[in-house]
Amino acid sequence: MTSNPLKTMMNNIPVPTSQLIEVIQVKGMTKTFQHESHQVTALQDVNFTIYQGEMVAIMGTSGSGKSTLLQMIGAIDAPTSGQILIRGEQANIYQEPQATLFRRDNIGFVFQSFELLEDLTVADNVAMPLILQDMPHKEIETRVNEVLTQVEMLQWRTHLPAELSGGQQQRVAIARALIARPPILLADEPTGALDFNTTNTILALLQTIQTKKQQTMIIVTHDAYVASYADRVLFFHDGRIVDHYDNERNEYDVGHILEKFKQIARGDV
Amino acid sequence: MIDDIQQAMLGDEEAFQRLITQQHASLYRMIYAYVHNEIDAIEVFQNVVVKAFYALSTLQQPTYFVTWLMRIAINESITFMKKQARESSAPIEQFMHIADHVPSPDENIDLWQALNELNDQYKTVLLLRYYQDYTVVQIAEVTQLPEGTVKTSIRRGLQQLKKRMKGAYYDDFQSFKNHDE
Repeated sequence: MTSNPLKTMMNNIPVPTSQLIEVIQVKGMTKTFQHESHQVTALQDVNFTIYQGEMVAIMGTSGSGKSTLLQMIGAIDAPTSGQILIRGEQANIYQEPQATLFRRDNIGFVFQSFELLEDLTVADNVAMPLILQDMPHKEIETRVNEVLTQVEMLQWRTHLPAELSGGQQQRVAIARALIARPPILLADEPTGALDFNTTNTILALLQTIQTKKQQTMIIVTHDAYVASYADRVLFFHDGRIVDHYDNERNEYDVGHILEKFKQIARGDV
Repeated sequence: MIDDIQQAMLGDEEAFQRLITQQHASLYRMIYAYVHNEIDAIEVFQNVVVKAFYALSTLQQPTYFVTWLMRIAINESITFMKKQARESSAPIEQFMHIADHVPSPDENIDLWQALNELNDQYKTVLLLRYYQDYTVVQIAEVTQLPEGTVKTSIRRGLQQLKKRMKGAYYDDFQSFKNHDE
């Protein structure tokens, strides 16, 4: 049928994307450690999914299992049972050096203590993941400038880490984590060593990267303020997820909507 | 599509997902035309999906699926708006005033405003007729109004729309009206 003004107007209403891409799927994950004569269960039947472009905070006290979880997602350790799929591919099945390659291709790490190399300039620190990939020099330079611009540190490219403030060092660390364009950014207490104002600017930066680049992010934190920036918070206690809520995430996928409804009906949430 | 509807009626979630995915843009835009913002539109959309999934077994005939789904979407949208108006401490008039000033989906601000000034019945029949291209019979199915009432509502709704737009688009709609009758 021919178009009319009403139809034209209606068809101009933007429709949010209905596609939620699963980046991380954790299914029935359990992790036990042998401690002297007895077994310690660090994680017990943990299940969750993280979608592309989401910022998810993982909260919990020490001993809650969140550090163990981080090692599993970071493909540093393997679960006792259950599985973790990263972009549909099973993680934790590789031995070194393949495990390192898997990490490099999938995850960018940001740490509380920045972990920059003292003797290298900002630009060289950021370039390091690509140097290890043997990427051509020209392309590395382009990418370094691109990510340093993104974190607003381009003018500091020739400086050494010691010449920078804590917040600036963390910006450099974020640039380094992003330079290989990993699907997941994993930040472990990224603002733990920073004051309140700097914390805010780092969180704002992470949020900008999340929305502009549809970057999936996991932030491990004990700080509820930091977690408030996330779309979703997973609370860990005694190796289980004890609570789970959304901060107005645009959940729009039909399967996801039904699943969430069932969780509510079962009283899981 | 009929296969998917039959499968979905038997509880097949994937078939149901395919059906909703096919309809989602037109459903979402219909909802948006009532609630006027993305966050609320998504919330209503979610309610519609859940309601439709759990009520699907009560659908009389698979061929009614699309109009049935549209009816749920419209009812949920109108219920949502009424609930919001009730919960809002501001008087209704003020609420309507705010709703009128939300950004329109494009430069068609006059048409968007005029449409949103109509009562729900006129607005609904015009959206179904001119956006969804439904026939009078289908509109009667969705709105549960007699066909005669649907025809009258389309005519009167169109008249009111034109009056509010002060002649703009008059010819476009005139030709549609003639086309229709």
